[in-house]
Amino acid sequence: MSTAAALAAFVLRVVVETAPLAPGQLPAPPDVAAPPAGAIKTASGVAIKILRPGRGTQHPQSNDCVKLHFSAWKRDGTFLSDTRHWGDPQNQCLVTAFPGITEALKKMTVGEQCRVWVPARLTFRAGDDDAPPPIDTTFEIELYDIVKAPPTPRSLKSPPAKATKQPSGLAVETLKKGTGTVHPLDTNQVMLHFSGWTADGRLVESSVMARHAAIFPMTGVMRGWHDALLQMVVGDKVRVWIPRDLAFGAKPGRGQPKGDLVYELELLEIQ
Amino acid sequence: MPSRPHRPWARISIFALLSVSTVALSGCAPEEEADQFGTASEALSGFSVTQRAYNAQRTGANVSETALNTTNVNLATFAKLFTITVDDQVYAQPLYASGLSIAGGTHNVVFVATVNNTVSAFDADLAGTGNPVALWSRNFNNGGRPPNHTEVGQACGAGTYNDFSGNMGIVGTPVIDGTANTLFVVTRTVEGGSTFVQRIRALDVTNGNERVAARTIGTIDPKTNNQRPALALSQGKVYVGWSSHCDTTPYEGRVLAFNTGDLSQANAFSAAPGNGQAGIWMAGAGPVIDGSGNLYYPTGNGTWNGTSSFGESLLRLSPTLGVQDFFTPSNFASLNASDNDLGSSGPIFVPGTSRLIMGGKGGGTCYLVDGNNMTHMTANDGGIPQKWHCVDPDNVRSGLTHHLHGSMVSWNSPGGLNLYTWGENDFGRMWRFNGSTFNTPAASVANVLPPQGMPGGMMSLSANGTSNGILWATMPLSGDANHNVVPGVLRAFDANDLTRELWNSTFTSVDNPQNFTKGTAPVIANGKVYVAGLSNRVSVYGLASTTQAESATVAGFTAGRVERVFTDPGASNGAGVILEGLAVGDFVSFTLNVPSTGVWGIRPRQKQGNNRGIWQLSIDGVNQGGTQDGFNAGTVYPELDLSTLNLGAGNHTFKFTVTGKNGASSGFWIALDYFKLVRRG
Repeated sequence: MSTAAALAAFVLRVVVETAPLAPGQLPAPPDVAAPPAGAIKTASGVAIKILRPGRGTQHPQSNDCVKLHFSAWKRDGTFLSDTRHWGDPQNQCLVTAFPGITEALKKMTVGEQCRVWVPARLTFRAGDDDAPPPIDTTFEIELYDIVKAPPTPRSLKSPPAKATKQPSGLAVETLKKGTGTVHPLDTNQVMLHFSGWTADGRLVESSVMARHAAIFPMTGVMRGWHDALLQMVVGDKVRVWIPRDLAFGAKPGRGQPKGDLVYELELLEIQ
Repeated sequence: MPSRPHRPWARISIFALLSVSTVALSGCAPEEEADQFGTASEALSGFSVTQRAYNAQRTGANVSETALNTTNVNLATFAKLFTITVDDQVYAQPLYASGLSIAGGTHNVVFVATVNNTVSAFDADLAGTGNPVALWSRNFNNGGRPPNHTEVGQACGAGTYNDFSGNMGIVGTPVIDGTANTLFVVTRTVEGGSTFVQRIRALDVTNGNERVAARTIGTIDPKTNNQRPALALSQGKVYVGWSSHCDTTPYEGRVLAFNTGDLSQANAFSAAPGNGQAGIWMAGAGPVIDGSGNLYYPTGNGTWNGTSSFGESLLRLSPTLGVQDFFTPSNFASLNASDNDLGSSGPIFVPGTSRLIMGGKGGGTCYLVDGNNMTHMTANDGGIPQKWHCVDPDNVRSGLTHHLHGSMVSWNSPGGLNLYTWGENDFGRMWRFNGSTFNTPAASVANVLPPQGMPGGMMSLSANGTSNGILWATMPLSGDANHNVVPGVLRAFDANDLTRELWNSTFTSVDNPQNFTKGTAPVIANGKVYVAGLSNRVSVYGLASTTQAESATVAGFTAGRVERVFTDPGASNGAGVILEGLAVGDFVSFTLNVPSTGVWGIRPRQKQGNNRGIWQLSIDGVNQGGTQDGFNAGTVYPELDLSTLNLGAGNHTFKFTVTGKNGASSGFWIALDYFKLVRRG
């Protein structure tokens, strides 16, 4: 988007957002402009007022996703959004949420309802070069459920001594031994469950989290997967440390993770 | 606009959910309630594919398919029949006409347009013994050449404009007027060394000759404007849309209407006058056209004021291209600033209603919009019947992009109306319509997960009415097709149960469709599947005449040897035949029936193992192909493409003779699974 177009979009927003409240919009809470004195304030500048306590002690973690409803307003009370209009609670993963929202969610438990004041700098993430102008935003969030991510392996940066290392740099640790007798070939498809992390612990993808096994042709997977799968039988579950060049390389494509990766693979079926 | 370099913040879905507008404008609401969307009239005899996605509703479903079904699309009886080689890459969807009279003969014809500005007509059923010879072929470089991707736009990815690779002549899918037997196409050339030209042409489908003089399109920038959407035909006019290349400015999204008779320009529309962008590209899809001739076009990022500029909107244009109504997502500003084009895919009509579904690059959101009351921009999008998270709602790749490209598909299944989506970085999904909205979660989810990256699955559906629905999809086999040419794969799924994959092109290496095109989905017509690609070819798939070895008539085998049936779950039908050969010269022969006289490809499937010999096939005493090694340290079932030859209808003797033994093999056995014969000519 050009600078002119971005400016036009911003001006448009300013214009339309001063319009009177339309049907379907929610009135802003009385303290939308600033958190009350009793609100919890974090070091980063997020303020949280608990409207209704939750139950349990489990809080969402960095790689988890949640089911939630939220409403949002600008600090001047301008309505922004309300997800309840669309029925079911929305899916939101913490890794892709505004940093301020992620911070608040990590303090919540299921059933909790909070009002959250998020400063503009904790909306769009750093490096979002042509994002819309960030705005101070006040949210009301109700947490319905936590979709737990698979546990992050402890040793992401280097494989343990018991892992089998291949000359390519690939390292494989067997977590569970299967009962199969044959290995996949390049002519096969494989059905498996998988989860993958970057070296800093960010969950990249996970069929386990989706609760839906995935099928891949052996000739279509990254080399790190391919070489590990060649050694596996049905029922095997392994953890593999994949050097960058056996993953997405020095110049990953759009959205692909950078650097060395760690995956857990469980071979369910050879087709 | 086509995708730009990666912007990680574009994936911050919680902001994508925000409404940043509070304007609630009333919609223009025509009175009709029922199904008002028509299909283009076709005077061509038999089943024809005259436009993108089969019909003006863009359902992507051919429901007149009687040959292919969920039983016979399988490893044993479905295969690549032949390949049509053309002179360059293919982005445009192939078109198809049944029973067309050309040069004294009657043919089913497939029309292929390439980025070298060549349009060709091929016999759709028969290739002969080599590469098919075009029934006619015309090149429209006009003494010049097609523009190259390096010279039309700004950097998109590393170095240059990389949404395309190589030439960029014909990209938009042509359209055929089946009444006049005329094919309309837009060519793009560079002439006189540096002059960019775009022309609309009208070709006689029987010979490729131009019916009237081509018309130079003067009201666009022929270099900057990217003719990406499919052409559309309605009420005597051809509608053509344009975007830009990777938002290279200055540009504005355009639609022009040309009279079919003389190609004169009849009407014009700008989505954002004053070079306000709002490109119309739709990943190659076509506009929905309703029964009144109104057209539904989506736009990409650009300026918006709701009166004359319509970035990030789905528009209903009158036949004369006036804006009648529109829908703009309430998070317009967020989508707009992040290049999350609403118009990265085409709209699709919900049969039996006045509703359309639109999805784009906005965090995997689908919008159900009433074509009679599109509601403009409303808070929370509350004016439309439904919006929902239709791409990766289960978080398999929550950190990656979830754009929709190309076209969705809809089909009236036995269980109800289904919508099929296959966004990038997600499984394919089937959504069931409940009469007013689509139920969530998805009714069926495929297990196949494309490699990380663009564009997800390019889908098409074949069915015989409400039965035997097959969802066909092409997608990258590996790699990201956003800015790269990558290998492709064709897959077929039971359209009632996406976890049931019927067939895919990786089962047998000879079925490989080569490089993937993100420009179009497969086309299914009269029992064949046409898969265009970037390897300068269209691969043609269809049914084979297959005899399972265990069911074949054994004509003879070497005396004193054991010939027997084996069982193995890995074998087609669970069984095959083994000759326990002991020496060179041992043989087993079968009598196989060839159903019709013609050119046949011979594709037996063997079971390799560690005690297999080297063998030679002969048919009626004539060797076919070279010797084949049955040895493998493991158990593998390769299918072999041995030869193409003329065979008369009736019985023939297929003899498999041991000619040697791999040094690593422990024996001279021959193990055969089935004998697949594919008709090529």
